Amino acid sequence: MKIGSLKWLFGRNSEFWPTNMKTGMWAWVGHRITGLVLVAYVFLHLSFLSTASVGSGDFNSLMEVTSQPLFVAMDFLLVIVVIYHAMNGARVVMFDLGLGIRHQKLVFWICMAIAAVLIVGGIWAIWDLIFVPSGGA
Amino acid sequence: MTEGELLVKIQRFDPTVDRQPYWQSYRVDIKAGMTVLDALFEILNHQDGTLSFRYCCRAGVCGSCAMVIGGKIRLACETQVGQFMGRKELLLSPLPHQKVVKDLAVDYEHFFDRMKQTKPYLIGQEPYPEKEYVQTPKQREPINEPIDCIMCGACTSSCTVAWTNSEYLGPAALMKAYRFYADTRDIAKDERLDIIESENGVYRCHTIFNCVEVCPKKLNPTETIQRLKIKAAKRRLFGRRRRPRS
Repeated sequence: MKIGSLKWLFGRNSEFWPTNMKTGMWAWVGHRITGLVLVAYVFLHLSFLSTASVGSGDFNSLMEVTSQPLFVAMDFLLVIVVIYHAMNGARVVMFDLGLGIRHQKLVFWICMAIAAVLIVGGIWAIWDLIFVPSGGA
Repeated sequence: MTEGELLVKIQRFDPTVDRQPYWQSYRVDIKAGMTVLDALFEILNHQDGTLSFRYCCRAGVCGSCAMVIGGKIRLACETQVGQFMGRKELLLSPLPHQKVVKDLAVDYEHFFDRMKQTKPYLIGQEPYPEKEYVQTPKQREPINEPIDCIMCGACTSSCTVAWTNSEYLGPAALMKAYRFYADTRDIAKDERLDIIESENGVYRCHTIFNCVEVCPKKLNPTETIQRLKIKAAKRRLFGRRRRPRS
């Protein structure tokens, strides 16, 4: 019998317990979670755009909904999620091309350093759009 | 410094009696130079005769005693207990995601079945030479590392993909496949690539690097899997290599 209960699959001595997880495992779990978030986002994005174009309420009223604090917070989250997923994806592509496999931890941290710079830059870029009240809308 | 008493918790499970595994605690007097396997013998001989575990060579050669020791898969015979003295307790469990025979011993059948699928033997050029196939040290270089695999099952057990898809060949079998693929004496390259790039072959690898972390021989299965991926992709792109004629 395989041990089936969650206690043993994800317990203290398993490879999923946070203190037991190593760099590659963290990168993979992060990649999976951000991937799921992005899939959910795509559906949200498409449903919003299609409701705006079909016309149960015009585009401006939809924009009012999306400028609520909850959606603003989600915009910042989206920047982080997209950039993490992209940079870790670049890392995985590198490994598939046979580059830097022996130095996978260093490669991960370099990618994360680049991701951190991009995230700071991305948030700085959208900060004005969100927090400076625009005249018209 | 490394002497004293340590609380050892062992994941016990007897499939004929128990429905779920359970932790059982033992107090072991640790002496300098004691390995985890020595501690297990201490428990077996003096505290609990019903404890089961697998071992053979006690020198890190046979790969029988791989188990989860303190959250990481290691060989019990090569791991010093002294390094865990700072901790409150030392947890021991069998290899994860494998069928448990009893307590710390797991069933290797499925592991070796997957190993056999990759044809882990040399397919030489016929007619067979009278003495041996000649190989220079330089030709042997690519297989110097994968040849050291002791088949302890640590990598395949730690692999998350091998857990979610039990038909995935796993790092150990794929490294074995690479060992024969890269061997200059072997001629069945196409045949091997067909197995390697099959549904349960190299493309299931997500480069999680758990296998590299746990390998007691410090080998790099991920690198061999990635090399095989490149070989398989190249064959798809540029066509099959012509089989050498005898």
